Amino acid sequence: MKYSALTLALQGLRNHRDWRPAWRNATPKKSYDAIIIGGGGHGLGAAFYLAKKHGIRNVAVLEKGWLGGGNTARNTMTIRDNFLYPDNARFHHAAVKAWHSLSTELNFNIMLSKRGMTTVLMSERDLSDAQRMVNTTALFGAKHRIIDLAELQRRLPMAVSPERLPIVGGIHHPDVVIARHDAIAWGYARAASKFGVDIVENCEVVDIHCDAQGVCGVETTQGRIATRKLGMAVAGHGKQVAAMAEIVLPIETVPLQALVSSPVKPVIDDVVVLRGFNTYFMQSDKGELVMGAGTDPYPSYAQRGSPQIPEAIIAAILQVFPMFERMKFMRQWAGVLDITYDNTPIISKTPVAGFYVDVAGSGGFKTTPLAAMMHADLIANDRPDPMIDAYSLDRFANGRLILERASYGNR
Amino acid sequence: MIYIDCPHCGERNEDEFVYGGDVAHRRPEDPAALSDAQWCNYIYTVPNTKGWAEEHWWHMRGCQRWITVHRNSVNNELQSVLREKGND
Repeated sequence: MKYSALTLALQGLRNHRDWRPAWRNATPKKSYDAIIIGGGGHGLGAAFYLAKKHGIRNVAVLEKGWLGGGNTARNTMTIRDNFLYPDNARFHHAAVKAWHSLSTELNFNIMLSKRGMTTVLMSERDLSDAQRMVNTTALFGAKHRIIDLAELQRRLPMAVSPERLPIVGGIHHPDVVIARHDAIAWGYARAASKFGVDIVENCEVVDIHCDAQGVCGVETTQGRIATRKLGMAVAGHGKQVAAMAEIVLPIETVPLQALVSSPVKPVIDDVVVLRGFNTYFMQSDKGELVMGAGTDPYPSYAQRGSPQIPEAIIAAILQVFPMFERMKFMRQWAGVLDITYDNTPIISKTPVAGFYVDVAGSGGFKTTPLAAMMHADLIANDRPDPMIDAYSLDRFANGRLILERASYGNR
Repeated sequence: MIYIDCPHCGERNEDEFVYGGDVAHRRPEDPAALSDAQWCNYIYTVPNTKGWAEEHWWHMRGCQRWITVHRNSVNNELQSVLREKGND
């Protein structure tokens, strides 16, 4: 069923009795041409592009819980490309662009909203640092721009006056967008399912079988399934799943928290970054203020995080925006991130033939469509696109790290 | 919030402490004798245990001594907090 205003009107006339499920819930077959572990945005996207761009349609996505129930449901939806290092800058700039055509391509409204991002700078040092960032990212097409105090006050009229805090100016980045995080999983699932991809929920992979040629199948809670091509798009447990194929991934699992206020009427358009406090927030389409910061200070698999982090986030935001003081804090959670030593993803072949990984996005929501496209391309052609050469697993052994904290620390 | 019962100071909030890594992740005795692959493995690969592990924590905002904490990384439960040799 094609989704359109006409379909909606016709369904309305029939009292919405004829809506069908958006995707088939499949039971797994005995074998597939390719299997993707992980039914989040990255995994479902990879299956979709395998079917659409590479004609590989005998594909299954295995998800241990429900679709999009991991970090796809736990991020703060911000899609940005303020990266400084060439490989990261190119990849993330292309990644932001890849979002724009998705609603049409998937025939599913991912609620893309071009908010722009405004960074509040609070020292001369921040300002000169920002100038360097603006110049560097311009080389790769990002449209950052330094704004003076007057324009900052025009964009964020509710911020405190510079008499109270040493606010010196800001950065405006018009290309930053937000998108409905659940919709990306649902949209990919529906579109992939139409191509014949089997989406299997409540199916946990418990072992990976290999023979002399490489991967030959997976053992799951719904039985054994054979395949010669296996892609892994797992967040938070990448290390454990890769270990089933005796691959040791250099990642550490750390919670990243977010919190939301109760919903209010629209007060702010931009994604606001408070540089000096390493904190950011924006207002979702539902009206909640969505707030976040850096990762928790120690590794953990607990999807909740430590309370001193939300406390610091709220304190920072209230210093600059005292008007939010009476707002009610509604909900707090953490997603567990797989983080590499250089905070940069691994989208790569592995020493096991036929086993590919797209892990450690360190806040990988923003790269979902491009990473999924590149992962599918890698699975189909068994060689990395030049775009992801730098994200290979062997960069740790050969010293080609991309030592950029921007992936989550330097919004 | 984790409450860590420091053997020197008593029970304190986790934000007085700094996580110092898994005890099992030891610096090799003789780094010069390692192959590049083994050294790379030591540098970039941490145990990242899901479940119980012994960890070094530093009581930075307290006695400034290193202690060994037995923590479950799934639910942040603690089993024992011990002094470290050479730090008592």
